Amino acid sequence: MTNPDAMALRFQFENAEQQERAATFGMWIFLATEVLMFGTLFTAYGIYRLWYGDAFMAASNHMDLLLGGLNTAVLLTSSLTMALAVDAARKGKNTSVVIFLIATMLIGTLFLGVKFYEYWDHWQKAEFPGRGFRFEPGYSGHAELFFFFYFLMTGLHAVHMIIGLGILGLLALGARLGSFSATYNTPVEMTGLYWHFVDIVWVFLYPLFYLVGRHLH
Amino acid sequence: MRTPSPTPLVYGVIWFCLLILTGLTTAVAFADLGSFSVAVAIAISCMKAGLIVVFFMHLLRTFNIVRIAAVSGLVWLLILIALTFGDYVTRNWAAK
Repeated sequence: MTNPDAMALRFQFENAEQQERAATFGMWIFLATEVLMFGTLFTAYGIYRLWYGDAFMAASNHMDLLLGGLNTAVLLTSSLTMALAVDAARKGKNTSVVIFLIATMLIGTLFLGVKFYEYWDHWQKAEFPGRGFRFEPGYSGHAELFFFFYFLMTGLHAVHMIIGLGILGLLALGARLGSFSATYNTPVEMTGLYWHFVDIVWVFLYPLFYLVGRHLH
Repeated sequence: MRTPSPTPLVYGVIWFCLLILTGLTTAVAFADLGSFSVAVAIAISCMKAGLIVVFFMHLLRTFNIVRIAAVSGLVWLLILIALTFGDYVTRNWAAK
């Protein structure tokens, strides 16, 4: 691969700092749109939880707390390895960058594996919204609404993770080929911002789906 | 203009704090706080998000224009939540 510093500055920018500022600005604007996209779903969830609190509590207690909590810790750890990858990129340590990026990918894959097991488990217990949905009587279909939001929001989150894994893979390849250096590592930093955002979304998803009715036990 | 970023040790400490907060939010969920449960859960999540934004995403060390973009996202989210909840919560408030 060619010298990263030589090809780093695109023609439309006056200097590297301006380029980096534009990239970071653009990424945060994108993240702001993502905040609003998930935000509408969180708001809708909030309204229904306000109206059907009992059903939401009962449904939430059907979530596997251990898996949910562990998965939260797993994803937070992937954010740590991602931050360390960005740190290594800033220092020009390409080998460390590759290692930390691959670690992030492995941990992220573990998270997805647990999620898909949970999905399968819910399916087995007839907790997937639709014709075959079964739940304790007395909640008038509002428990099904909880699971609808669960699958929609964690599913959308999982799609973001899968896309992130793809980007991480390309990034690791780039680092392996020497595309980054201490003076040019913007792609690594921007990917870090994206990954941390996906982690923040899960930080809010966890208590709102797994911890609603625990005080009832 | 590159400001110095946190050291790996700082990242590790923040990660540990995030795990502690995760345990805290889980433990508090078992206490019956009535309508405060949601507020506490959201508050702890906001603390975790704050740690991630400040230390992992370097928001306080970045260009000024970037902070404007980040804050604007938050502001519009708050408008979304406030107006939507304001609508639904105030229905059927009219005197009968």
